[in-house]
Amino acid sequence: MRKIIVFASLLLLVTGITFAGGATEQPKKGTDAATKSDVTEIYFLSSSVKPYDVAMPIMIANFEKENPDIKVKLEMLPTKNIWEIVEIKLGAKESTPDVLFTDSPLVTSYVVKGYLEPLDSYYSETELDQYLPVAIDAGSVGGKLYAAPFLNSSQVLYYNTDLFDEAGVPRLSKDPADRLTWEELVDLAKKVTFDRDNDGIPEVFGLGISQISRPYQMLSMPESLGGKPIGKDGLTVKGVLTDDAWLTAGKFIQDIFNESKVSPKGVSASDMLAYFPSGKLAMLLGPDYNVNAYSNLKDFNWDYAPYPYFEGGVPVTPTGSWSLGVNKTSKNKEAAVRLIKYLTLAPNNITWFEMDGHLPTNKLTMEHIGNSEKYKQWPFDIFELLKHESTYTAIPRPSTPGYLEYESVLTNAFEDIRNGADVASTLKDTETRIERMLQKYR
Amino acid sequence: MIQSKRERLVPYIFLIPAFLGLAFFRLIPIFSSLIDSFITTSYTNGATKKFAGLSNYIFVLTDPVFLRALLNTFVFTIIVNPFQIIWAFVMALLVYRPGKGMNIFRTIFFIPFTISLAITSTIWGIMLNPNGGLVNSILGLFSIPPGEFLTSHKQALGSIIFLVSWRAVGYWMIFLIAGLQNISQSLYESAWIDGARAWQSFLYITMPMMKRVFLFVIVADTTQNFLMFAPMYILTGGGPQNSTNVAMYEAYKNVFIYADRGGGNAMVMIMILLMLLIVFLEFKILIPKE
Repeated sequence: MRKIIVFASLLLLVTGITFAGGATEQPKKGTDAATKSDVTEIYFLSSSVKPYDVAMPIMIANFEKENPDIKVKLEMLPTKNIWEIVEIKLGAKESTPDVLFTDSPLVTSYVVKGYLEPLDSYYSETELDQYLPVAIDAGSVGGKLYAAPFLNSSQVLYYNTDLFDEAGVPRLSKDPADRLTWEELVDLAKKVTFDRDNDGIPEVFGLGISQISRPYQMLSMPESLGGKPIGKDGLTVKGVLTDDAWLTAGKFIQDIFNESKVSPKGVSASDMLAYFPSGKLAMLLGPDYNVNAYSNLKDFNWDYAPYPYFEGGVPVTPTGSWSLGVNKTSKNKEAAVRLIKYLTLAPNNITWFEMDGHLPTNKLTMEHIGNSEKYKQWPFDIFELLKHESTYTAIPRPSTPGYLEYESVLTNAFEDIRNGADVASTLKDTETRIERMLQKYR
Repeated sequence: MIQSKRERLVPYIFLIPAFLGLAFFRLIPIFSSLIDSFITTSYTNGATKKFAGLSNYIFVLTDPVFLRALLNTFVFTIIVNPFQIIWAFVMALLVYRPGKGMNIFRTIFFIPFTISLAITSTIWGIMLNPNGGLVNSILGLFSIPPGEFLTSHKQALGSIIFLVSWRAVGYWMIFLIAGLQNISQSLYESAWIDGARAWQSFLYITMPMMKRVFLFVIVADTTQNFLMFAPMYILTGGGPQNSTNVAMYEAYKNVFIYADRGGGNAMVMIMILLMLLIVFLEFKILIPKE
């Protein structure tokens, strides 16, 4: 009997508290619930690379102001982590992230794996017409658009004019027709490499390659010699990575680090970018958007020149960048597409461009560059050169469902070559390994 | 005293939370890995999964890169475990006796373990940079030619063994100090009265009395190092020339980069089997015979 009384008292106490609380909180709760149900929260997985780390939060704040019914949960990660998160989360069919940064050569891979939602039905023809046709091609598979074009990229040769003056080297031509050959570039790099204390380790290296060992930049070397990055069907590399163009380019890369020693070993791609403005590199083959950062630096004197090519070969420049995709299993596709349109279409794409500085994929943003006085003056007149490169010399990375495997194995191969491994056997092993990995797509 | 049924159940009830943790975070994932290791995904017509029998196991066991990774794992484990335990034991012998300032030394030796492995790797990566890193600058003071460290296939694994040991020895030292302090002083006093020298006391008292502690430290250190790949992931990506590519890292890459979940899980199962075998042998060899 005693137990029943205690149980009944507890029950009364618990229900009493619940109802009492409910009675006083009810109106407020009701209001909150109504507000919350009107707000859609979307999860946006973005790259944290500079200058996105600053520009993206500003754009998201602006977007939320203009779209009070959408709240964006922004997560910014380094490139490598984005690829891994996508494989983990989208591979497990999770509904987040809703919007994701998609490296353009990975679009085919993501479509084959069923990660991306086709976007055509969300766009009007006028909207689609804002994108450059070549950028739409890069985001499309089988005639359907899966990744909205966001950024493009190119590379130029930046050089430190103070160090050039110190070495008595004249300024370089900006005319693409007068671009240096790789051979001339290395000779020049020797002149601007300084080992002031003669300890065998230069304080200033002549040349840095910003995306060292990554196919994005390294592929331009065998391609300049007529080499191909992958077989025609995108599913084989047999005989491709071991042809003369690759062997010659591989040997050339190795010599830069081990024979002429004009470029530093053991420096990662992300650190390489910081070496140039800190005066540790006299020249840097670096990204287009760095012009914004360098133009803000005081007491740092620099200029730019076109990307080099191999003597007897053709000029080839790296290109391609991030596009934006929607997770196929997202529960908030409409809101996700609204964010993508906000970032990639004018006028907001122009606002983004002014902060970010990447070559755009939007025709109206390109027109803005053409019409603006700012882009006719040094250093922003670099966009004239960039426009030339993207029109005439840019070759995108290969389109293959196995791009992630291709990129990862090839990066290690270039890194090994850089560190002195035998070029022929490294490329042979790499070819065998990639061939083995592409089997599952055939 | 006869225990009631209720009393006999008490220890099992206390074990339930630990068992649930073990089941959810260890046993179920291992079981799920085992199942996945027999499944393959084909991408020829969308992503389709099918039962693969032993083909994932055959595929990975004929992969020269995985076999090289297994070899690296063995070399790494065989060197790193004795290296860490000897280093930790020497440090423990230096500081286990109570005395003035001993706590300060113990703290100093333990501090590296409080730094995460990721930070340790990053800091040592900067110090081992062949172009003007701190280590080469110090070597230069003694006219020793600069090392290539993480960029050389001959030095990279050794460099990683050193940096992970720098962090770990302080941790193992704590267990060894506890073991040393547990040895009764009366044993040493009796030996001294019998005329035993210091090295004889060490060999015939300290070492046998430490056997159980060594067993724990060796088994725990082996399991930790056998699965370690964070420094390789952060510093070398498994290179140069696969010299630091360990089996667990290769399994990770298979699952999360190479889109080969079945192959990666087959690698994990092979690793689990090998580790069980090694730990079994360690128990067999090191368990003191009563």
